Amino acid sequence: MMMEVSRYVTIGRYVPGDSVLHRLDPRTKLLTFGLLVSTLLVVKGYVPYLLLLGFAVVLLLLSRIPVRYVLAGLRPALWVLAILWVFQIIFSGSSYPDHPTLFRLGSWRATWGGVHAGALNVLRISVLYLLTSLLTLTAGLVELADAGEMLLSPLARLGVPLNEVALVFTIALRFVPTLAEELERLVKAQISRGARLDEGGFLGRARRLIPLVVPLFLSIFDRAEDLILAMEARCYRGGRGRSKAVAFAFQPLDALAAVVVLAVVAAAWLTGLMLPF
Amino acid sequence: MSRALIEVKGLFHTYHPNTPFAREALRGVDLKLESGQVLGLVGPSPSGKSTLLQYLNGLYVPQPDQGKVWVLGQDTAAPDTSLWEIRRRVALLFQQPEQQLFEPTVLRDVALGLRNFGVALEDELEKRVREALERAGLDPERVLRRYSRTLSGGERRRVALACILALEPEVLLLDDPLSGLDPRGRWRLLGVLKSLAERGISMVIASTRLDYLIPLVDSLAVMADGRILAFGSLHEVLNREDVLRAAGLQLPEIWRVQQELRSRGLPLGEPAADPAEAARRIARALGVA
Repeated sequence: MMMEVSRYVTIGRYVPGDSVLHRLDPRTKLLTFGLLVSTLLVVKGYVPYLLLLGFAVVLLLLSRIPVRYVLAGLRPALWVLAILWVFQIIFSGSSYPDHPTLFRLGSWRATWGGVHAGALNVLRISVLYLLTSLLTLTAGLVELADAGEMLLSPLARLGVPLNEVALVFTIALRFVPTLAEELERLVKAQISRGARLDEGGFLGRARRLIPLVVPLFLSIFDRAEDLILAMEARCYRGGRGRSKAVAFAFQPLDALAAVVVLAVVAAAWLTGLMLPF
Repeated sequence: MSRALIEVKGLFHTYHPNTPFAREALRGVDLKLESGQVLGLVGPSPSGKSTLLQYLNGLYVPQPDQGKVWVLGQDTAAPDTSLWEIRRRVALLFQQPEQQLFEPTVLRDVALGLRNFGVALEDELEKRVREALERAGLDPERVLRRYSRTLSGGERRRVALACILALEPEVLLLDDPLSGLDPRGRWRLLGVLKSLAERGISMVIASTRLDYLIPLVDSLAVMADGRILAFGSLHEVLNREDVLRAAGLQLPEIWRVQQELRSRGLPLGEPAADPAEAARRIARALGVA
């Protein structure tokens, strides 16, 4: 049953802490994250991927966030990954015309090339998941939005409304858990009044969503109105000339992090180029 | 084997288990409700009151290692127990239920549960809705076809109560029913709840305030931090000031006045919950009546 909706929206929830990762400047986190992810997307090969995976695991241990919690978020994705792998094995035969055939499925041909390509993709997505989780688990959303805004600040001179964009992102992300809680309340209220949300065919179930969606939207509008009033009451005007409540400052720790990440990225590139498997 | 109407034994509940956000809401709760009884559940917020009520409504079901809940003699965790049936017979009024009216008009909203549970035929729906609205202290003629959103907060809450009364439940679970209402709304709803209690409907009423509960309940459970600190008759529990203080609760003023008078030597018995009754006793003790 979908009773505890909010329980499943824990991916990307900030877990406050005092680890090395938590103490990094959010700009450092964003930049190094971008560097690692682009390496992951460009470089290909088991050695560099395992290297990046190992690095992500080290970071996970450094973050002192319970490993079980982070991996639990990956569990629902395991099926998708498995299906992805199977598809890649079955449908990629034409990319490897000179590979021997493992087995045939109709006109499709499975090859070792497909098995490897699939395995690499699964590995790549797992590392991507780990890195993304680490970023959002150790940095608050407001922090990240502020950091992004600062890093992109040259664009503001070109007239891009960066502050507003950052604000919209922050609010949108901030509302996800709130709406999940709201939905949970509505689901409970429906079930308590005799609704059988988990029974019936697809159409029946879809129809039963209407009494949930309409009040959910009404409450979103109510909340949006409250938010507007609260911002007006505090004379929020956004934009230029507005100082930050928390000023970021790079520490020696950030330099160290940058050096370590650069070294890992360089190693991944080199091994990717030199070890062709 | 005859069990109480509701019985809870060693109930534990943790929100978001196995995550850094884990929060223990119930830590070994024991509770009993006999037929015809009105039980007050008082404690600060959060102390686990809402979670407990949701167990009694079959919205939560304990895992084998989380304790036991029997409602109407049935173990809610047993595979052959119909939670759907329990939800009709032991109905729950949520906190701020006026935010959970689903249908546009009052008639359709009160009829929603009747339809879901199939307790009324289509052609007697309106009659049942009218009866429920009357019992909830509303004038059916005036509100039946109104849009819920156009009613006052207190009226909307009584519409939500009517939604549940229409199901003719045997037990009412009320989660902080009087909070956030204006004085008139509170007074009207209190009258409705009193008349329901007089008709012998069993109730569990959760509240953060003792003074809201005292006119309604005959037994009291004090909750704090997911535990029941005291459980007994109204007078038994109110005499345990140490427990009330531990739960951060204050004795209602009417109670304190009578205790003060008694400690100054006025020959009063146990304090009375009803102001008129208290006044009578004081007058008698003073020899003016």
